[in-house]
Amino acid sequence: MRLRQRLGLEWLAVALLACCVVTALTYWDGLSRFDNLVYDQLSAIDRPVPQSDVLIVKIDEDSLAAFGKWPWPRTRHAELFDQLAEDKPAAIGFDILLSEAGDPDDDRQLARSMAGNPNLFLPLHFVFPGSNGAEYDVKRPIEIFSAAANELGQVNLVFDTDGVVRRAALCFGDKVSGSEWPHLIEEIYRSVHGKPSPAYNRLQDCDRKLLMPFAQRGGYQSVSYAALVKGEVPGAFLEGKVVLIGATANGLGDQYPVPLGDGGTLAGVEIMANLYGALSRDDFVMPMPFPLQLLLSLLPVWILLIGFWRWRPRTTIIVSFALLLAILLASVILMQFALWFAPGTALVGVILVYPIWGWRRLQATSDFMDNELQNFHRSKIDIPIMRSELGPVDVITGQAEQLTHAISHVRDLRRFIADALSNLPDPMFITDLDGKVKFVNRLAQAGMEDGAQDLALDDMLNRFVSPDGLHEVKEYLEQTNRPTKQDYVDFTSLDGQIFAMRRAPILSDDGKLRGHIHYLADITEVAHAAQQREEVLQLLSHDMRAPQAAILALLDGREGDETSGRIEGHARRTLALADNFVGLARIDASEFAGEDILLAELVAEANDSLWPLGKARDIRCEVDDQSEGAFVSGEPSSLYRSFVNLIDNAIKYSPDGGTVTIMIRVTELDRQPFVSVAIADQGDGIKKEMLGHLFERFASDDSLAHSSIKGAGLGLNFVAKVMERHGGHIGGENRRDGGACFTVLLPLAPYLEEQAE
Amino acid sequence: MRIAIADDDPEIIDFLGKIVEALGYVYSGYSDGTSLTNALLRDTFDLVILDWNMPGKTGMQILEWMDGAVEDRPPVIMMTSRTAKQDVSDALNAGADDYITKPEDKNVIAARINALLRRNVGASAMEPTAEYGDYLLNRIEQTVRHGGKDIALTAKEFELADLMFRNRDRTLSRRYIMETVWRTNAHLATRTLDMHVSRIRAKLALKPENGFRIFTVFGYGYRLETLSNGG
Repeated sequence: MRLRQRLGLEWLAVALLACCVVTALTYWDGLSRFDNLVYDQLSAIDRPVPQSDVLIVKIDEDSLAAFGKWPWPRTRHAELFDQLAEDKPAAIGFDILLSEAGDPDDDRQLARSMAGNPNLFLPLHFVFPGSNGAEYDVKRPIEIFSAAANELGQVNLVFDTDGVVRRAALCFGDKVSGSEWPHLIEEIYRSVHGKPSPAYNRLQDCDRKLLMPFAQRGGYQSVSYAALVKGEVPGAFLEGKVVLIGATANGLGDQYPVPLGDGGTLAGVEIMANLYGALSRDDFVMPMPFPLQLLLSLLPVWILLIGFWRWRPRTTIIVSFALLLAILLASVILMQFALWFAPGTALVGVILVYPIWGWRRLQATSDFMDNELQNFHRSKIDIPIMRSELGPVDVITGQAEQLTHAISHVRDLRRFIADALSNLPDPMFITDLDGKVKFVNRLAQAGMEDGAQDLALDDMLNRFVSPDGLHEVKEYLEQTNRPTKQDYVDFTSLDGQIFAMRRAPILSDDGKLRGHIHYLADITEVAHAAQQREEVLQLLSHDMRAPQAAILALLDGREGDETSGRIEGHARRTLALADNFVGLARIDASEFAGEDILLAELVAEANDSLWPLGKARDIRCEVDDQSEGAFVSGEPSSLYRSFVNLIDNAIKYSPDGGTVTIMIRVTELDRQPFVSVAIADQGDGIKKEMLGHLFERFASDDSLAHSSIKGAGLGLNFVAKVMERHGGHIGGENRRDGGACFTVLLPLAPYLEEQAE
Repeated sequence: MRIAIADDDPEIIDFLGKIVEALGYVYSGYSDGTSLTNALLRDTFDLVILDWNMPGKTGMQILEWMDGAVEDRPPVIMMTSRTAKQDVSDALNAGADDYITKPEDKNVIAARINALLRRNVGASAMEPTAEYGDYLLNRIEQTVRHGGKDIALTAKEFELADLMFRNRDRTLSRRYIMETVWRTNAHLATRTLDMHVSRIRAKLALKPENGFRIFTVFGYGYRLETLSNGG
């Protein structure tokens, strides 16, 4: 796997993990304790000023000392309500449960006293689970008290998971259907202000709890129950105020932990006073709804995750710390807008994702490096890789050291290759795709003081190739496909050496063309040898022919006596020998260049040329052509000479007055069309021991060596070579009725559309 | 008629000289290229027979030189021991009017000399009939009479046969034949010409027994040769 893909997968895994953790923590509120801690600290920064229109009537230690131990007889409360009725407070909240009947006379007296207060609000509470399978039971004050009260309100406290009261439920039940129980304080608010509180109006359902700000402990005005009952409190002090009556004495148990930062508890009635304050000021803090909370918690994690691709580790760690601060800052700022963003999960996300990603990235990189180094070791390189001999180090450091060695090794190798190329015994240079010279070895650079790096290919050639060869070289280089037959070009350099230049493509691993290698083989000596050979052949073909021609010219004017006839025969034999020898020597010197040849015509002309020879001995040569204008692709000179050789042989070995038949036919061999030429004589045939060696060099019938008929020896060998070159065949055999028959097969040239006349 | 013969071999000059004299012409022999060029500047000749390999200047060099230096250049026969197909076509394409490889029969040489010295070839095309050896060409009927029979030819075949007979013993380039008979020099028709030559050879039985042979100059063209000892 490539590093890029591996890292991509790792990244996905880390991202997925981080998202899951953050989502789970948010959903299950797993960090509530941490979040509460933060909330408590933040809420301590700006505590509200207690409402001055709230008065707490405390059933405190002094009251207990004055009236004896709790519970007090209900007549005692009747005294209180009688006293309150005179002072005309705005509303009275009586936070004492009256859900079971007491002495009937006492109850009646209390009910009467209550009735004297028109704005009295009594608490009700719920018992979970309810009796007979109900979800809950509603515990109201007994009937006569309920009737005396203006309104009943629930007084449920909301405890967080750490047992601290931070929130308030303004109602209980189903608000949507209207069957909810508003909070006692909400009822008081409505009574005082004549309308529901704005916070209550905003509330969508009763399950949503609002975070309430707490004033300083003991911040609300309070008077002792005992002092009020004894009439020690001036009436004006109570008039128009919201009076909340509740137990504050430690022994009465109505004490709850609150987020005041001192670890202490607060009496239930003081919590209610704070709730009234919050309702009046309307400064509840709203916990963020789940989707928004999740979104904000995921945001910093994703910023980091995306940043991993772009930033260096150093930047990433700075950003991580900045994000931690930003999350806390966001909590503080949102708090000012009465929104509570729990920072815990977001912080955990950021703290988690950075080290995990760092670990996975290091692991992936380490594995990759390991793998690459192993591949590098495995690749067949002749220079051994140096091993780290340092003491034990941690894995990554070890890998880094190995990498350093590998790199220095590659550097060595590069120098090695460069040295090897540079000191090649023949000139070579490498060009890129733009035709710029990218590498020149020492020999190719000879005579160029300014070097050849980045030289255009044409300039390079101009400095190297003599003007005569330039065109041919360029033509070779312009070929887009590599020639199959002759993949090089000869030229003479400016200083007279002869080079064969060969170009080969340089391909990348995936087969794309990257440039070309140009290799110049110094063939000066070979070329000179070839030239010498050519001179020898010239000598043989011309200089040896010339005196023979002179001999024949000399003889031509003479009367034909026996000696001159024999001299002429020897001269002609020498000529044929020279022709065949040169033909043989040259046969493979050049590329096969076939042209369209009407084979029957060629054979007929070869036959015509030998007519005087046959006529002299009264031998008839009959051409039987049924090839119907068959063309072959061939080299006319060598083919012509071949048929001359064959017919000449046939005439030579024929008895005087005999007939040589030449049959030309179109035939098939291995389903390929061929033209066959069969030349048959009426001589003695080929000797058995000769049959297998007919086409070998210098194979000539010994028994004829002493007769007047003499073969050149090279003739049939030449014919066989020519046929091979043409992709044809030749065979020699004896006919049943005596006489030799040589058959030549040549491939039929493809039929061409005959031109209109 | 005056003929210049240049060859580095005195035997050959002697041999050719006898042929020329037998034809009733006079000749001058030159044993090297330089003396021939000097003579060509001073003197007028009706025909030049050139060897290829000579001291001084080679035959090919003289051929090129003559194009620029000699006014109203006489016809040239290249006569050499070089037999390669490339040499033959090179010399003919360089402007030689004929090419004879040594050794060659004296009758053939005589016929080839005569062919080049023959005048008003074009005028004879106006005659309604023409006789060449045993062949009688009827230009009106477009038939050839031979061996007591009238041989029917197509228009192109007759035109080709007529052209070759009129220019017998002369080497004609394919290009010349194509332009004269087909009035085109398109290379595509190369097989067409081969086929026509083949048909003429077969229909007219142009073979040594009848005193003629068609000779292909590979890479250049054709020649209809007359054989004096035929028949």
